[in-house]
Amino acid sequence: MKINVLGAGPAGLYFAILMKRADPRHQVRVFERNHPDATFGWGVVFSEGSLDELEHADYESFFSITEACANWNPIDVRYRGISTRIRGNVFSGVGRRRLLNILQARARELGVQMTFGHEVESLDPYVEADLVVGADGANSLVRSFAADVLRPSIDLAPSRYAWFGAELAFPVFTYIFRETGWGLFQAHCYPYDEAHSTMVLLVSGETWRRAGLDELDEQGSLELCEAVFAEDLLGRRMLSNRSLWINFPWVRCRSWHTDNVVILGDAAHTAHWSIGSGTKLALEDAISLARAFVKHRNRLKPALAEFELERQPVVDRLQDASRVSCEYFQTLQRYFTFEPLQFAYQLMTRTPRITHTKLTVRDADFVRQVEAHFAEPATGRLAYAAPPPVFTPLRVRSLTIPNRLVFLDGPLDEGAGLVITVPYAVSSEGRIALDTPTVIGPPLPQGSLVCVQLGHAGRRASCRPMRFGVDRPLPSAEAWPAFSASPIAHAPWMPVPRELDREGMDRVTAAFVAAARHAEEVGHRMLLLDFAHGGLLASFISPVANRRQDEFGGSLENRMRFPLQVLGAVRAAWPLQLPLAVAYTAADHVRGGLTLGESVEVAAKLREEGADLLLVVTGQTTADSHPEYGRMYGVPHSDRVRNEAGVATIAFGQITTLDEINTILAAGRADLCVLERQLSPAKSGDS
Amino acid sequence: MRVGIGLPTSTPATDRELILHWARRADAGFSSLGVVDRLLHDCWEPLASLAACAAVTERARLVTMVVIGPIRNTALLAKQAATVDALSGGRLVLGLGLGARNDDYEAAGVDSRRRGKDFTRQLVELRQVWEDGVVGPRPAQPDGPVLLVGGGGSAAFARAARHADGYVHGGGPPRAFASAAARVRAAWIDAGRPGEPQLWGQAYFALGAPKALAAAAEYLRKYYRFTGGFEERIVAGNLTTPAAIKDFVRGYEEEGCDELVLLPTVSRMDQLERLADVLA
Repeated sequence: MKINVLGAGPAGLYFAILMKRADPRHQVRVFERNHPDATFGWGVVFSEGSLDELEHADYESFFSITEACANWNPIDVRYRGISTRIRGNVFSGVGRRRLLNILQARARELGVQMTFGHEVESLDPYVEADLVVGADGANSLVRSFAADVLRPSIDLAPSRYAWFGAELAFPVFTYIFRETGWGLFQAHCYPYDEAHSTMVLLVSGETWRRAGLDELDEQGSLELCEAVFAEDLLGRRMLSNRSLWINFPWVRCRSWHTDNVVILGDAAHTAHWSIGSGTKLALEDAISLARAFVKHRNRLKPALAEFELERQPVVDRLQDASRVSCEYFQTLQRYFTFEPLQFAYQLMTRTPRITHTKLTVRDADFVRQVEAHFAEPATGRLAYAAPPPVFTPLRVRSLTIPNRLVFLDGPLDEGAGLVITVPYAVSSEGRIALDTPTVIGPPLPQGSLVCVQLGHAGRRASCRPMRFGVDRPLPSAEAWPAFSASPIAHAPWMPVPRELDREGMDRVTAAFVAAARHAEEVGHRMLLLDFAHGGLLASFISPVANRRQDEFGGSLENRMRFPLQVLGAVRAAWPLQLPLAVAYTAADHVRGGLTLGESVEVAAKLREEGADLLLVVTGQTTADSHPEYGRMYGVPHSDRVRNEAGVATIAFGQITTLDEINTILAAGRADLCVLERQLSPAKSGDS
Repeated sequence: MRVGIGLPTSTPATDRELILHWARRADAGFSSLGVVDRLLHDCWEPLASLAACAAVTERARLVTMVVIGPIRNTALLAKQAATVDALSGGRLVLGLGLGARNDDYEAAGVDSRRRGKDFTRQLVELRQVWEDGVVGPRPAQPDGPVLLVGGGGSAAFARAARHADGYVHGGGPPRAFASAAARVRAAWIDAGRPGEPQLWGQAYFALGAPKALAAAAEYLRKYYRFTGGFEERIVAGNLTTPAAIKDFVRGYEEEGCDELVLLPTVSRMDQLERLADVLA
């Protein structure tokens, strides 16, 4: 095969090596714009597992690379002047130039032709080869030449970052958080040889402007950063080399190949540097592509198809994780109330891939301390060891919920600390369907603590039973009138509700109070008011459902007036020593819905009016509004609400394991978690 | 997990004899007979095909995976489905989806821009037609045919959870099925539905001599050419050895699939016999 590789970064060189290694008859040429010793970005880090794949792909370069690597396993988190160390992580770092020199030498040895200082202006001179490989980085020209087929999308993260070097070797991977008059400066530092480190700095867009980094030249920006991190640099210098402050570009493509052009590494997909896997992804792309050519005997179509088939799920997962990681570093100031131990735990578990159990394997003693501190408020003493977070009681007012596990609608005898009932309608007009319960029975003498859910279906009332689907209105002969904030139907096929008038509001408030009193009389000790799920109270809060012109519509304050009135009245009627929870919609997931800022404000107002806990849900504002489902999809909302509005939360949304729950709790993303119990896999026999 | 087999209604050079013989033979060995749908392709109309199957089978369930809903008039679709359900003695499982091609919509004279909203409404209205009995006939199943929704994103998962009895996955390795199934279950709980969603899977298979396998690849390539490159992946995913089929079936069972339907890619009776042997 005749192969032209554009770009002599790790992906391009490694692919050239592997192809030449697989068959010396291949004619492989590599073209690179820069000089062989030029490099931008100091060291590269491999933080995602080991480099075993390289060992199998090419022994010779693997040995040279591992010899050149600095290896370490602890991470230091410097925050509030305290350094917290987490051990057991696998990291290695190597100078980028060193890595490229090793790959260049190996390529040369195998007979790859390399041309440096070569500018590519169009694809035409290269496409006569059997295969053209675009390994030309995040700003790939090859990608833009073939954009009509590859369909790339590029969007920019709002924060700014820049790569610097430092003339000292940080002992281990170190995160540094320094607050300045301009705002927070973060440094992610790792050594790449005995005397040098990479320092990737991150600031918000506002901090970048306030500090004047938008105006400063490279030297000015270097000096400013040296001053910010003076304490950490121990008198040493920082180094710059084209260290520009840029927005991270998210690159995704619909496809990575055309008939005979394929793109690899950053050209095809970028993963945020904060999970340190860009280089590893690039090298693994090269391995996968080369292997596909061997397997399919150099036939292009099946090889390129196989390459995408194999790599896309892996890359998607890593891109998603890196997106979460980037988001975390952009918003972590919300955690600045955390103690250093929990702050470090939160940082370590920022993507769903590192769970409580995985962290325990890495550094059992760190997790032991986290658990002990987590249990301290519940037990009143700091023990040497404590049970995992899920088994830590939670005291709310004078009620103790024995553990953090929550089930919806039972069962009562399988160990959950709390079981939330199906919604009871506070009045017959507020029933979802004819079979919606309205009469609250007494709690059972034993089993989980029961939390009675009270609601009013609003414009989603008067439907057929949910067994065959939701939002199926009853035939008009059987229907009863539905009420909402405004006369806007929940779905086009549903009847238009009546606008709730003042008298109606008083009626609804009285019904909530009466239901709460009744619940207390029969012996219940916890209530959940449903201000979510597109019901009556949700319709007041969401701007999509509330178009009122009176003092109950318009501004957020107005839209909250009636829901807060209901909450206040129930709080006044419900015993002071017993907890009251509210289910609330943290995101409408519909155009024109609640903004993120508003949703935090709503949470704060509910807390001020006496809500002790918020069950955080999303979507269902209209019949077609829904979250993006996926593992723990509701947790980021619980996290945001809890740590920005300062309210205790119950997280909900595809939480399926205790390990996930322990992680969520210990990281301070929620105070209780609704577990969706996994069905046993072999559930259905022959039927 | 139950295993069904597809009816060769979209494979090249199929005919009446093969379809009826296939259906009769499948009735004894497979739990269901599945059909696919595409307007601009010479595949047979799914509900008409299932009506024929209903006449020559007694026990296999008849499943569409999936009928493109929005290109059909809802009342008429409800009537057809109720009829097939009646003809089959209550064996219809109606899987519906948006389909993957705009030109099917153009050819049907239906505006594809509103198809998501139309589809959701159609799901609600289908049940309404069956329950209210104004259109008639009443389906044989007292609650109407089982309704499944297909499709890949959260909108599809939400639709399946809110307006259907379950979900039919579009194909892929067990891991892909598992991930979609977990999302459907989450959407189901999110919607407050009682019980659990039914989860169906599907996959292509071809067994036999290299010539048959080459023909299968050719068919899949042609059928999925419109995807612009994705067809090679579908060819790569075709199950072409007994071991691959067994692994796949085991994998789906592990992930909690209720029923997996294996779709033929060659119009030959031996495909069914070979599959029956592999699964025996």
